Amino acid sequence: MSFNMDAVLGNMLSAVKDSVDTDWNDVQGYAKQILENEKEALATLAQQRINGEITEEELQSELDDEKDTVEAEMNAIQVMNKAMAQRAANAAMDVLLQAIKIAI
Amino acid sequence: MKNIISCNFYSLYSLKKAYCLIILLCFSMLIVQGCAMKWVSDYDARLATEIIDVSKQVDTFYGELIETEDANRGYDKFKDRYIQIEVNIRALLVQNMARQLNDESISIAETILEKWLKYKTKHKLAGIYKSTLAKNHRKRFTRLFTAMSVAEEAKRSDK
Repeated sequence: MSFNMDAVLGNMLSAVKDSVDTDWNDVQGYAKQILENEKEALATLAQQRINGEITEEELQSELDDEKDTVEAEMNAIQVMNKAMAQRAANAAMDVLLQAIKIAI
Repeated sequence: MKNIISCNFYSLYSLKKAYCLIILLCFSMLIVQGCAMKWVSDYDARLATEIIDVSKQVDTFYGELIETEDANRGYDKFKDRYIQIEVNIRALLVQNMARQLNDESISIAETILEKWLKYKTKHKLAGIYKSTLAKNHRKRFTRLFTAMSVAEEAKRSDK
């Protein structure tokens, strides 16, 4: 059996692209949601302070918590990215192993 | 001299052959064992459900607190619920800590616990919980539990 490395690499690349395309939409959608939530949260806090509903100290505390919340959301994005890379690498490896199996 | 050259050539040939054999052996092992890259922990369906359950408990807690008149919003009235939910959040943290390749989810769980304890302590010390702050905190916990849930769902291998 012959083993055409160029063809295998092309198939591996195609497998990676298919895998990343699907996952990328999820990452993009969630990142957009994070930004919209943050924009809304900061605007609300500013308005609450202007209206005198919260004190300066409370505003500072809320801003600190907002920072931690965005950090947690970025951690979720990090997991999505790692999982996306894992799926893409495994999809490419599956193609390679399949080609080797056929060639043996 | 001729012998030395032929000996070196033979050594090189043997070495090349050995490398080829090692590579072939590695590939064979990969094929037999099934090769998989792993950078995140496995998906845990039970934990995914539990995240939603605890998220609902926190949301219900804030819903009831916001609906309660300011005068009846003392810490003692909510003390038992605070403790029960704290236990459940700690259980989420422990379950995440028990898994490998799970640093980000552990960090999210730690943030949720830290915020829960912070708001609980403030409520206890102040004796009141402003509606404005309660509404902010309710939304914040929704975002934090969403982050935890999104992170868990991303680990699904059947996506």
